[in-house]
Amino acid sequence: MAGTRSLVELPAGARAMVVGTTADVEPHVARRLVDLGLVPGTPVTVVRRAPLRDPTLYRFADTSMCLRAAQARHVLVTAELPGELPGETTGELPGELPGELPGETTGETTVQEAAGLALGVR
Amino acid sequence: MSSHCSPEPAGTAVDHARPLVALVGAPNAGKSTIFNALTGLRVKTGNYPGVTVGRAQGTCALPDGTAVEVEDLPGTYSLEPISIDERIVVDFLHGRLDGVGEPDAVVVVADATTLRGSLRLLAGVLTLGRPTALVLTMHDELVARGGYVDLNRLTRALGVPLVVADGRKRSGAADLVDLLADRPSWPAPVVAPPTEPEECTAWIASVLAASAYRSAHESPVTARIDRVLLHPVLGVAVFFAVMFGFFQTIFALAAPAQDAIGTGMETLATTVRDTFGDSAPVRLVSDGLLGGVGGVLVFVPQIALLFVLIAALEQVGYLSRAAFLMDRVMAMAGLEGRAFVALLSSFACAIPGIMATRTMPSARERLATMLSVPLVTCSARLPVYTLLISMLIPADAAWGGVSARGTTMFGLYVLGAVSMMVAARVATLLGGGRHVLMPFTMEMPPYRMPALRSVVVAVWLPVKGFLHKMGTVIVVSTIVLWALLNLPVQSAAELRADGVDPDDGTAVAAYTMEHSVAAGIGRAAAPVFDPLGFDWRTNVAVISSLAARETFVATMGQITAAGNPDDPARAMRDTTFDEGPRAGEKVFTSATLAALLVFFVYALQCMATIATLRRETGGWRWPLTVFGAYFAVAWAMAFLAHTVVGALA
Amino acid sequence: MTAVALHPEAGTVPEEVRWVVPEAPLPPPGTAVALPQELAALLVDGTLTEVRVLPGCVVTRAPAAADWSRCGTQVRRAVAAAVAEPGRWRTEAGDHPDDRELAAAVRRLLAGDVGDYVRSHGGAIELVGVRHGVVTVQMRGACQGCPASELTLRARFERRLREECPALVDVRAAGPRR
Repeated sequence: MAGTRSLVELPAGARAMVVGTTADVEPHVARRLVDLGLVPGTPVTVVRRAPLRDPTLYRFADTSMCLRAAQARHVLVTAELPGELPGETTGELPGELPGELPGETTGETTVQEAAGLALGVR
Repeated sequence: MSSHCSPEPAGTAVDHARPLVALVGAPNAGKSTIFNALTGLRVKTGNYPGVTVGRAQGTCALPDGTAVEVEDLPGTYSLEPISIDERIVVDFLHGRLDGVGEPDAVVVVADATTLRGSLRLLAGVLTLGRPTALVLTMHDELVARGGYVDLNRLTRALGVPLVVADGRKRSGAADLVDLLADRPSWPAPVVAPPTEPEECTAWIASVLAASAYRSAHESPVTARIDRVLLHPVLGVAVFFAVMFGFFQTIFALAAPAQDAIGTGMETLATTVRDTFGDSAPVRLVSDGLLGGVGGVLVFVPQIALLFVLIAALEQVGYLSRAAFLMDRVMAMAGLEGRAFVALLSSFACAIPGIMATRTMPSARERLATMLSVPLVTCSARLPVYTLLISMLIPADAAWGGVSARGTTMFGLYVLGAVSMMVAARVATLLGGGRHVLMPFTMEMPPYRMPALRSVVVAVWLPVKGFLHKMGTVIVVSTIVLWALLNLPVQSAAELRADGVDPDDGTAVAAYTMEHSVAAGIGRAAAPVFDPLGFDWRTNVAVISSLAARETFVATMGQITAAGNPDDPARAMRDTTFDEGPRAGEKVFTSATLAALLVFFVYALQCMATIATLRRETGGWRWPLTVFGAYFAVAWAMAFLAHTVVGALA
Repeated sequence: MTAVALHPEAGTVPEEVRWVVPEAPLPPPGTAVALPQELAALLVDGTLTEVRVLPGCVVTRAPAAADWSRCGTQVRRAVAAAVAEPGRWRTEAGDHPDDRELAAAVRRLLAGDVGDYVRSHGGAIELVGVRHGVVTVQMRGACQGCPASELTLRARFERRLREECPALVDVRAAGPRR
């Protein structure tokens, strides 16, 4: 895929989106990366490298996780994402939903919108 | 199915009369805190049958008067096992683990701040079809850091009972106990979650969206502290400061307690001798038994203190930071960052070092660490090194303006550490053929206040385990060794016949030892140790040091200096071969001293360590293997040292 | 394309499963009379007896409750595929049979102890309407803007309502009128 590169190539502080794993990854490593939440669509931030360059601390899926370069090189990511507010590493959560009024919505109002509203009430 | 209500050690059999509840959760999910809250100190620790995977099982009393057995399974991110530990979790949940039985219910512990990841594990557990409940920990932290989850909607979306139980607050634990009593009414999901990873991701997204889940912000306090503690320069400086403090605390704070125990046991032994007279059976009690018990007790302050520090550092979250900083260094030994705690502890004593490997999630690296840490220079080697170095090197000798004695001591410490790294590397390489190489992953939890209760449990369990199992092995071996060194009993007539005054205690002791079973063994071992320059007395001292290395000094004193056991160095310097082809020659030449020093670097001369290895690896195979291997290495290296120093001198 | 995010929840009766679809648009509520092929096939072969759309979820009914352990995965995939193509659905809106019962239960609760609790805190909950199993209420008085009102709404009101009426799909709070 054009524009993708390996997670190890990202400098500290960079943000990118996971697109997949390399073809040469061992199945059990690939499975573990998925278990940790490195699934396509997940934004990853490179937090910092250890003093001897390895391992590296990443933030994704609401956790801070250390990976050695040996594993991180198997994770393919998009080109860098623009920086966001610190800690806002979740992509598809309903936090930024518009606070629509139920009276103005049609029958297709989703539970998700209701959730957004419920938050608005608080 | 044969066992009944007798207390049995974990790893053998389970009381099948009680329902079995399995606790499953990701590392750092707060599983152990929940386990402690449920079971308190009614816990058995050990290993799963045949593997080096630590096991903890406890009993939880329910309000209806019945009780359930709670199994604290190793932390895991998924039910697709890639390590032995994870294999144990999966086999346990399937009820496939020999002699362990099937879980009647599963409780998944999930950290509310990292719920996304935990739901993947929950999805896996739900496909097993066993009664399942979810315990949500750190919910207060989620809210405090700006996150949110609608608990009612989450419960409905998951289809299983849910309890919020921050282990730091007792109310949650009470709710969980009530829930455990109510197992028959646990609902199950109408349709089990999907197993295929992409579908599972969609299921998780749907559940989280339906329960209005909003992630917590990254803890700003943690981020700020990490900027210092993980800084390439500052962080490393703090790391060394913390480790220095750690090391100092173990030595400085434990030493008075250890001295007090030593003195107390001696006083007790003297009292016994004074009360019952100085006969062989009395000596067996006063020297053998009390000495053995004292030898066990003396480790307790160090172990307790070490586990207080480890538990506190772990719960605060510093241990993962230190492992992060040290990982690259440990990688050279084929280990991972978390092994350094064991390495560090072993400078005090290999026993707590071996026990500290329980923090390591990978069984293979845990085994490699356990087998290699006995090479680290422990405090028991210190008196031996001090004695031998003082004989080998004059006090005023200096190399480049630095004390030659100090430099040699430092060199021995470095030799021990380097040898440990090499041994670990060999162990991981040898073990590598049988296991898949585990990817290194380590979560960095936010900094948290340690919970006193968890610290107490974290200290109590290893101490209890140590006293319980080690006590028997160490006491028995000490008594056997005492018997070897002191039997047969010499009658007054025999003593007089050989010109020994029966009233001169020291002379009698020396004479007894010279004619003891151990002396016979020492002489029999001569062909083995001759090439190293040892005489039979050195052999006896080496054999006696099997109980504990520092005994070497006392035995050497007793055996070489009938008149002056308090200054063994001097007596040893004047010792000559009293028999054999080299009779009349000095025993402790530079070459022999160097050989002895090197021998002590490598040989696994410590019953307590062997007993601990037996307990932690779950059998005699590993302790006996490393005992043999380290003996061979010790002999070869000592021979090398003897040859090289002999050629130089 | 990533799979449509959905998850199953227990329906009003054991034969029914609600597939909650929180993030994708659904066809208008009502009983499905035309469906994308994969889901339609399950109605034809008798795996399912009925497919309905409610606000935020698709309800599927099987002949018997015990069928779900067998056909759950198949139905999930069919619903996920069908939800990805809302244009190919046709639904017939009818009166939601449980709406009247739900409204009565809401009035009972608000006149009873739940209402008493809210009033004791200087607030009020008013019923705005019930449609397709979704109850919309308006928080008034001290409840408005109170951080605890969400908890009251969910832990007291919604929970009690669900106990009395399992047909409840959702409780929604209307925002303050602008």
